[in-house]
Amino acid sequence: MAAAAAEATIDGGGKMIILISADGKRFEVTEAVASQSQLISNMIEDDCTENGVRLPNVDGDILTMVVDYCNMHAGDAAADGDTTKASSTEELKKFDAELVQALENPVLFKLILAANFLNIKSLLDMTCQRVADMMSGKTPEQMRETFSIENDFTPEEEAAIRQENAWAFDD
Amino acid sequence: MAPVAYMQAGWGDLPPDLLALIADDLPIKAYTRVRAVCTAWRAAIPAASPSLLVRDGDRRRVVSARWLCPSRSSTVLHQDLSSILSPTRPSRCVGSGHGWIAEAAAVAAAATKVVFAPNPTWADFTAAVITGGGRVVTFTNQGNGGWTVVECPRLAEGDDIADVVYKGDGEGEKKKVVYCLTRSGDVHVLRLPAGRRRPSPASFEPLFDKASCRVFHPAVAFAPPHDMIRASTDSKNLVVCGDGHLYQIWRSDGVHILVLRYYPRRRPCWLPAKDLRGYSVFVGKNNNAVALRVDDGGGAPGLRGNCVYWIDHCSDEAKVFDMETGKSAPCFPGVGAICWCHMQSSSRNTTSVAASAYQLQKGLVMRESA
Repeated sequence: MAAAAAEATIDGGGKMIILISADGKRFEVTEAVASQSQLISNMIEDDCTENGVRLPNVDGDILTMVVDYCNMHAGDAAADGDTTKASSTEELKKFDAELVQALENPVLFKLILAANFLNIKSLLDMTCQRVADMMSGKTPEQMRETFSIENDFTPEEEAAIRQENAWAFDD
Repeated sequence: MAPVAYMQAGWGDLPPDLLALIADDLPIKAYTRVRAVCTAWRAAIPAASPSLLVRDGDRRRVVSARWLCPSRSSTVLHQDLSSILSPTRPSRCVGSGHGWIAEAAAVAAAATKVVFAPNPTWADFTAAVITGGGRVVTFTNQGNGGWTVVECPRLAEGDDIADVVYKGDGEGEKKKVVYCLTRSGDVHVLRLPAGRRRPSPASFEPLFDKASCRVFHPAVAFAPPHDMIRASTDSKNLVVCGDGHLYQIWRSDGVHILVLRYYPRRRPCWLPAKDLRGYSVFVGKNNNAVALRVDDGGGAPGLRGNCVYWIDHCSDEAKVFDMETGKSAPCFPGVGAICWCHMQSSSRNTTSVAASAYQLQKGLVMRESA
């Protein structure tokens, strides 16, 4: 069944590929959409997508977001393909801004890992920028709170770090 | 990565390369703070490495600047710093470190290099400055400090101070010492004013050949032909490596670079070095204008050890001189360089520190009114 679906084509959309998330959800996308992932693009080249692409590191909710993102951005990647489907620049900007704004811990964390694993550079850049924005203007203590990280420095180590870079810790 | 582990992972488990990617875009202050969050994050990203401040876009109008350094080890320049540093007057940047960039104010355009004792704050800092006349003034705002001209007893008529470099003692920085290199190749130890209430005044003493406190004998310092070459070098810089070794870096004709290492017990005591014991040196623009930074090559990806990174003021390019091959090559071809900046600090490894433009301006105005 999966093989049949993977071989199927739709009008003007090229070959279809099935992506399978860690929790078994299936997503049918065009090669053009999926190729924004360098990982999948390489798999397509190597002809090993016939039985669907299993992504054990990415769960269904996250893969939904990734597929949405890739669908929106497919126009970017297609150099001279079907431009009627390509989203306008303004639409894309709005979509990206809304996506990023909606991201909360730990969804953002998972999306970064997914973007990295799938090797989708634009999504990785965008999500990394979001984390950088969340870090900006915060003290180390505030960052620990934001990201739920335990302070595992000894008091001596922490004092030494502060002493060494005192300029970075005064507001 | 097993799915179960992935589900349970938190931000502290962010893969190091991803954290580095994120931190790469942060301003220097946030970058340094990220390194103080937890041990995993500290291990994941290296201490900020020296960065090249470059011109960006329209030379006359745009004041923005960006860091250009091997990727994954650079940090973005603070917007407010980029507005301070005008690309049209690059020579005014006279030092960097501790999160600060020093720029000589208009009243003191003559100042060519500033070094500060570690952890300068607005209220409390100690500095040494090379003035336009090649003399050294010190500043402290502790006690009844202020700006003081320090006389160097072994500075011959016509000789100047060419470079200054801070050398801490690493133990609470009780001794604040600045090494001063003269144009003739002599080196002096300048003790900065110290003490909270009544600072002891700054004073000079020779680094070597201490018996001769008034006359510099080049033969004690250099073997032929370096005793002759020293007269024809265009610029000289002094650098202290993290391992404590002291080097002089001579440049002549804008291309030839010679590195001499200091051997306290040998005579002559400055001998040509084949390497920097794995360190690399960053030499600022305009001979002695900006930061000298030493880093072990392993600490920052993309940077090589045993190299002198410098700025060719003829071609306006950043170049790297490899001591092994003895040749220089552009690091970032076609990019107009302003200066090498180093914002990180470490009490054990600091070679050049500075205060902000505003601090310096304030200090020099104080000197004017004194």
